[in-house]
Amino acid sequence: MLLLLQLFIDGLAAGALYALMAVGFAIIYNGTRMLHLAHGAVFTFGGYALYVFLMLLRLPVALGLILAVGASAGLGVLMEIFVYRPLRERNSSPAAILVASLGLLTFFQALYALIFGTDTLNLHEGPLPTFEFADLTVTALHIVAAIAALIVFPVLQLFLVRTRYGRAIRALADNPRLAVVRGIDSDRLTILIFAIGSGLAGIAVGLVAFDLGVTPEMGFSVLFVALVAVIVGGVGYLPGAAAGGFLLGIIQDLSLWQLSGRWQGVVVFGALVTFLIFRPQGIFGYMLVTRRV
Amino acid sequence: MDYAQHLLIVILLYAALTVSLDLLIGHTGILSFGHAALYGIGGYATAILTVYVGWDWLPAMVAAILVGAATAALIGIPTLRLGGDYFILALFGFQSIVTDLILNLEPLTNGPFGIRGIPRPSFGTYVVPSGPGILLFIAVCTALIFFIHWRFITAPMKAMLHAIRDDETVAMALGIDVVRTKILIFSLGGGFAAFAGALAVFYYRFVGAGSFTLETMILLWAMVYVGGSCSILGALVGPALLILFPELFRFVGDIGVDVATIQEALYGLLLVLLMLYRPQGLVGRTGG
Repeated sequence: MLLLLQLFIDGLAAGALYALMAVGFAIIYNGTRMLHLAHGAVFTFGGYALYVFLMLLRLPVALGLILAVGASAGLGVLMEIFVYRPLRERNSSPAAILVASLGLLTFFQALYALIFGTDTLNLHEGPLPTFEFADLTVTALHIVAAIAALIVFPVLQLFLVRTRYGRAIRALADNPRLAVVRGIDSDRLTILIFAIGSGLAGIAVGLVAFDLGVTPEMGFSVLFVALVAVIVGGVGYLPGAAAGGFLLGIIQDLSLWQLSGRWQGVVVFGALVTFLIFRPQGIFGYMLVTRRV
Repeated sequence: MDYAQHLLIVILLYAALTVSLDLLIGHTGILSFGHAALYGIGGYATAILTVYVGWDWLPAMVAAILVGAATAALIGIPTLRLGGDYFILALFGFQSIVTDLILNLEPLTNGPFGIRGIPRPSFGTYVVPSGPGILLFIAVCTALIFFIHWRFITAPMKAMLHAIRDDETVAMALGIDVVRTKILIFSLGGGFAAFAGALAVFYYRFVGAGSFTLETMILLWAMVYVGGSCSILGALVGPALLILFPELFRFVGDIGVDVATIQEALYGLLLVLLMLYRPQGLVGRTGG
């Protein structure tokens, strides 16, 4: 019982990571209908930015974190300006956009390996500080994950519901043509969307980089779980993506009770297939988002 | 000479994979990320049936093709009826768990060590030898795949597939059973990929998880789009260029960095630039 509770707590921390990643991906997907697979490379970029700021330049942790989030947001925006927007302006097919984003993912992963090598770079010497509560172990990372989730999601929700820009983002996601007719500058707004989505990836990477270090390909597996989280939560509904992320984190860690860690990918895939067969619209989705390819 | 022959065989294997992937992506609009995994499933099925079960090469190869087609159907049935993006994400997951499963199902796949000692194809007492013999064997099989592909994309079938690719709603209105056709074509592609997998293990006489990874999948997509989708010539040009291109590095000599990583960076960049400036590929004609 205690073990299950411990795994549940670990799962919540992992879930915060997936939820941040899933919401970042989903906000971009909802706004642009593009499968931005290079989001995984943006995530990893944040990790290397942390390494450069904290380990090479020895900046204070708080400053380094903020700069790394900014660096991720910047990379996402550059991808939008130099790759995705020109592709949309040329009326490229979804397949072409998908190939380009796959190209970006491959290019950046290889670039990280060329610059930093393929070894794991640690942001932290020794184990993380831990605390004991009634036989349960809580690491500093768990606490940071909880704080990050408790701040980021409510702020994002308030932004999307209460502010002009937030409403514009939702309008664009809901009906792009109508939004443009109502005077929303969709190109400028898409830059903001990419900045927010990529910034969330920059926050997410902090939750794993301090614990497990940084590697060139770390983004891919996290992105995969995040994509499943988006489907599980319901495509088109951001709180659903967050809930999906937490759910998958918890399922993944609870599965450790019976299965070894190397089956985690299979567990996530099993959840995906179960949802695709029995509830493809996701937990909170009320409709299937279909699009012709 | 031996090395040139090896390169030619590798190009033929990838051409078989590229042309079958193009049947899915280019002609039917099925954006499949599962081709490398199905290729691996075909390779492993062949290896397990010949080495562990002791079947002859031909029944093993036929069984591998059927396993590939059946796996594709099994994955396609729940996912192809949903929208395109769900299918893409599901296949993305399929690709990554197949690698996981190969590594973890040790009794069946020998985990990270792979399976050795796959027999060469034989006809009666004649065992196809290394060298020109196996080259000819693989060339004939690849030609067979190209021929079936060509039959599918000529005459009535082509119009039906392109209708599905270009506008599913219109295709449905025209009385085409879109989902059934897509599942059929996807299984056919799975069968082809498994066929190529069987050919590859007959050539290498070894199968390991390293050949069917995400990188392979991206390489296959790159081959389709470098040559140009919807182009039979492109399905030869793409693999030839991407296989021969790394050979250029041989003349540069050791430059102190990992050549494979540089290649990967260049593939990635190439894909982005192609999509921006020449989405139809180098020898393709229709738009991407």
